[in-house]
Amino acid sequence: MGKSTIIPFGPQHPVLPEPIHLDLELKDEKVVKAIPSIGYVHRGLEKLVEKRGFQEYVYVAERVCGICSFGHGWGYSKAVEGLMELEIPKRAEYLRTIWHEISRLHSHLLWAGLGADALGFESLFMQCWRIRETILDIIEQTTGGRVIFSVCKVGGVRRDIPDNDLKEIVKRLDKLKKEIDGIAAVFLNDETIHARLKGVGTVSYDDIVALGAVGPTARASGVPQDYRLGDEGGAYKDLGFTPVLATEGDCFARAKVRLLELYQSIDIIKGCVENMPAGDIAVPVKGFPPAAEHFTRVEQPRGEAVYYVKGNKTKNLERFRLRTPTNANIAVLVKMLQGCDLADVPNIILTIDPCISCCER
Amino acid sequence: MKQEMIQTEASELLGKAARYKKDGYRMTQILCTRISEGYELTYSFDKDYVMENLRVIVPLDGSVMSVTSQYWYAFVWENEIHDLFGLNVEFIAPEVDYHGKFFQLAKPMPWHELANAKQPAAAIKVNLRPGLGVDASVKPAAPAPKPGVAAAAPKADAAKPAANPKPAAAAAHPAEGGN
Repeated sequence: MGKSTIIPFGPQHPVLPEPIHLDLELKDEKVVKAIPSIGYVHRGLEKLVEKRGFQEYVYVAERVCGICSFGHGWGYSKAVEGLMELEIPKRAEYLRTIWHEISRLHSHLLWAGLGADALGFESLFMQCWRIRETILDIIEQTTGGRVIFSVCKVGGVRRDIPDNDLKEIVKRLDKLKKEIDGIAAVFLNDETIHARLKGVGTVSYDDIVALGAVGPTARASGVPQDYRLGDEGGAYKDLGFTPVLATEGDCFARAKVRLLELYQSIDIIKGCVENMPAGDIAVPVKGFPPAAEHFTRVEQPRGEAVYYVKGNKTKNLERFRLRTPTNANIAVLVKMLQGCDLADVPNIILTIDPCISCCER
Repeated sequence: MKQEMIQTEASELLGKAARYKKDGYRMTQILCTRISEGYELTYSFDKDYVMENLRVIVPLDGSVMSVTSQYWYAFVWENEIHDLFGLNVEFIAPEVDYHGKFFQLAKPMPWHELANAKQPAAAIKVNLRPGLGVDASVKPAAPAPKPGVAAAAPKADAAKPAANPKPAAAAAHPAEGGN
């Protein structure tokens, strides 16, 4: 064994789309300890709630992150609706579910591309992002934006999707499913990917429970934790939902769960279209949020996010708090990195799909 | 649905957290809000998608015990609360107590004046080696005190040729908002 050396990893690193810093304590090529630190993209967005009207702040909440944008808008709106005891029309709930699952497709395909790039599969990376364009086109067609949706509001949604457009979206998703088969076949069957990901960064069921991990990271270790099973709202209760699980708990299992969730999201969207209720898409919001507080949760592509709002009978909220999935997965990342090879660090970090903008707000 | 906040004394917090852990609850988050009396802390625990919340009020010059002995992963939120709000969280598990260095912010936090904020000390004990990264086996040299430099400057900065004047500048403009 050689002497202990600390290698700084990040905040700028080719494999990281966003800045996070880790001090990796190494003995030879093995990581003994990983010490994370964050704060490079902290923007004080929670504080901004004191300066923006509670309806206007939805736009800020959506900008916490460009990938889980819709989910943050939904989570914030749901929290304020809970605070003001508003009942949302069924059609709005179904539309929110469709956009939320489109957002998950967008996020997982983006992750698959980044993962392929990190593994040295350049053309697979480009295929993943080419396929993702279909999703971005659907977002543009239905919301007007390609990344930030801006369709969610307190009380419902701003736009409807006409039934003809919904049918056309289903046709495009059926075509997309075949294209996903192509990339999934490479991810799940390629020998090099197996060699790089199988048995790497393994976390057991017990460790996941002890470290409070969420999302695909938890589900890849067999923990059936998905807030879509809880009081998520949307159409999940009506349609029925079973989370995608794997048991191996390694990098490959985390990749597999995300790829299988792509198919699940398409099925959920099709279920929503088939059962789409008619009616209003929003209810009028009168007055200001009361002097009370409310917690709510949303299952984002990366896992459970917790939203908290506190009103004070004025147009500005007193406090907004967001606990993001990456925030909950930092502890398990530290555990995953202990004992791994230095060369595996980028892959392990990528398989928790970290979103640093969300994490730091 | 009405959500209940269970009012808890700071001295009872650890015992209650231990009970939640024994009953199989997962800690979902810790929330800190600045209020006129000091800090309002909310500890949330989840089981079967139902969340229970403990509410603890800590005076401005007070501190709160860490729950990392029960829920180790709470270090992320406890360090965040210390760094962004300036509340002292006592006895965070030593390997994950960053002493004010978890959030690497360009602008010193917290953005309000505090009675007993824990100053950013040398949480990550590394010695910068010019050009070759960081060598953990080399003990950091004790920085020579310089006149006009804040005593709380982090050790990582001590290796730099010029001391960072930011802490002193921050002291000149301490109050800039609430949370």
